[in-house]
Formats: sequence, C-alpha cells, structure tokens
Amino acid sequence: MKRELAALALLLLLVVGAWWNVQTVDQLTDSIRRDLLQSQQAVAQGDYPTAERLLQQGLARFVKAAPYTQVFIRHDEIDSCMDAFYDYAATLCEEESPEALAACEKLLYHLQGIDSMEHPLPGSIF
Amino acid sequence: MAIVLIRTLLIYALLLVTMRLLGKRQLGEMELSEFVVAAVIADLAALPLQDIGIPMMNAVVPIVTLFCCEILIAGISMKSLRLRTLLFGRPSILISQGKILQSELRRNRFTLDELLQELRSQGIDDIRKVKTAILETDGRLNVLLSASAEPVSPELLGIDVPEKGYPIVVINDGRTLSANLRHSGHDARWLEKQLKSHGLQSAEQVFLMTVNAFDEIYLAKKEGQP
Repeated sequence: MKRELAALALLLLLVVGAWWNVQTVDQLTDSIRRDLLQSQQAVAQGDYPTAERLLQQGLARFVKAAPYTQVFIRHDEIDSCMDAFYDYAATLCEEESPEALAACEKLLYHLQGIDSMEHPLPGSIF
Repeated sequence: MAIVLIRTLLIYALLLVTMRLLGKRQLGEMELSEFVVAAVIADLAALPLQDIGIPMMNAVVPIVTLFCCEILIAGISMKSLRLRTLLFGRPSILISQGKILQSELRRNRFTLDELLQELRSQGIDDIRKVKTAILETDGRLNVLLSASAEPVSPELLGIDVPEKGYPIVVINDGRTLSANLRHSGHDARWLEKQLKSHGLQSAEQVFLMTVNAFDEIYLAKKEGQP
C-alpha cells in the first residue's frame, strides 16, 4: 500500500508540476509579448531606438529564462524563436517599417507556438 | 558527445530504478498491458538519447507517469477482482475432458495450429489425454493431464520419499555468503571444519559449496586447486 501511495503522490506531484509549467510559460511569453507589442507600436510610429530597446528587453527575458526553457521546451522551438528575435533586430537596424512589422509578427507567432504547445488544449493534445 | 554520455547514464539509472520498482516478473510472465508499458518505456527512453534537441523531461515525465500508473493499477487490481478481470481478462478453458471447446478457441483468437503446437511443445500428442487446457491471461497454455496419462510419481506408487530440502549456496566463487550460512543453521567454525575435511585451507579455493537440510554438502573446488 505504501508503494501505491507513493506512486499516487508522485503522480499528483507531476500534475502540480505540469500546472506550474503552464503558468511559467504563460508568464514568460506574456511578458515578452507585451514588450514586442510595444516595440511594434514604436515601429509604426517610426521610433526605432525605442522599438530596439523593447526588443532587447524581450530578448533578455527570453535568454534569462534559458535554464527553464532548455529543460522543458524542445530545443528546435527555442532556436526558431531566437532566430526570429535576431531577424526582427536586423530589420530594426535597417529601419524598414514593413519588414520590421512582419518580423515582429513572426516572432509573436513563435512565442504563441511555444505557449500553446504547453497548454492542455485539444489541438496540442491530439 | 558528453551530453549523450551523461543523458545515457541518467536514463539508464532511471530505467534501473523503474524496472526494479515495477517488480520481479519476467518478460514471459508479463500481462499484455505490462508488456506494452515496458515496450513504451523502452522507446521513450531512447528518444532523448537519439536526439539531444529533445529535452530529457520529454522522456522522464512520461516514464515516471507510466510507472506510477502501472504501480497504481497493479495495486488496485490486487484488491479488486472486477478490475483485474477488466484489465487482464480471465483464464479460458480451451480443452475440457479431452474435448476442444471451439467457441472458446475462436473467442481467444487461438488457432487450432497454435493449440496443437503448444500441446506438442509440452510433449502431448493425444488430445484425449488432456483433462483441462487453460489459456492463462499472460498467454501461456497450462495443461492438466487426465489421471491415467499423468506420469508415475512416488505418491501414486505409495512410496515414501524423504524430503531433501533446498540446497543453500554458502560459498559462491570463493566468497562466503554469511547470511546463507546462518540460514542453513551453521557458522564459520562449521564451514572451516568442512573445508579442512575436503583438504582446503580457505573459502577462496572453493568455486561452489551448497548444503541442504540434511547437511549433505556439494563442493566444487576452483579449477587449478589441488
């Protein structure tokens, strides 16, 4: 009976861990998404230095979370997201508004992918 | 390279613990669901070893989850006959009093060829000799022969044969197994005396030594010993 109780406790721990993981990835992607949306607004207003500062802020959050993301998220997804960050940064350096907005959309899409992948939704389960 | 090495060692340790805790049953004695879980665990364990881009958590979490489910299901099914029947099925009688129960054979998708093969593998050439053949839930076919076809035993002949008891290994490849020695009811002094009576100085010269309940000793010296 002890073994069964230990297994049940471990299973419950995994459920709690899964819930924590969803919350953590939510917080991470939400905070970066906020930075990027503000950065996108700055691009629309032609304020490229602010856009770049906000992008770097988002990138710093993503890099800081590496100990978490590398343990729980597929490395391919992390690499794709990093590529999207640098693509956006490159377009900001060139100060090209349409390309920068498109690159930002691509980055937001990658972030949404990471977020939805961890959410227990029918789409991600099946 | 180092990552693969470390991951392999970690997964190996996890598998060792998991399999050890899952129990002592051998592969051939597993229920179908247990076999499937073992196969899935093996496959999951291989994933992060083949591709270092996959986080180890993607293997660890499902392995631990399956392990927990297996422990829980095993524990509950020990207590609930209904659940046990639901999960593992129940044994089926395929032959009764020398007669093949064809409907049971069909229900278990067991072909006549498979049945005959199983009987032949157990040295049975005549179905009429079979009192009952039971297909167990782990897929094994257990056969009980009719009384007239059963092998002759001392009991049938009315001969009283004394029990010999199980031989306990007390020296294994030069090492004295102290717990076994105590279990056999002897001590180190007795062992020393026995070794001397066989012309030996120490346990290191012995490859195998067993003793049964009647103090009958089997002793094999190590090769190259006088």
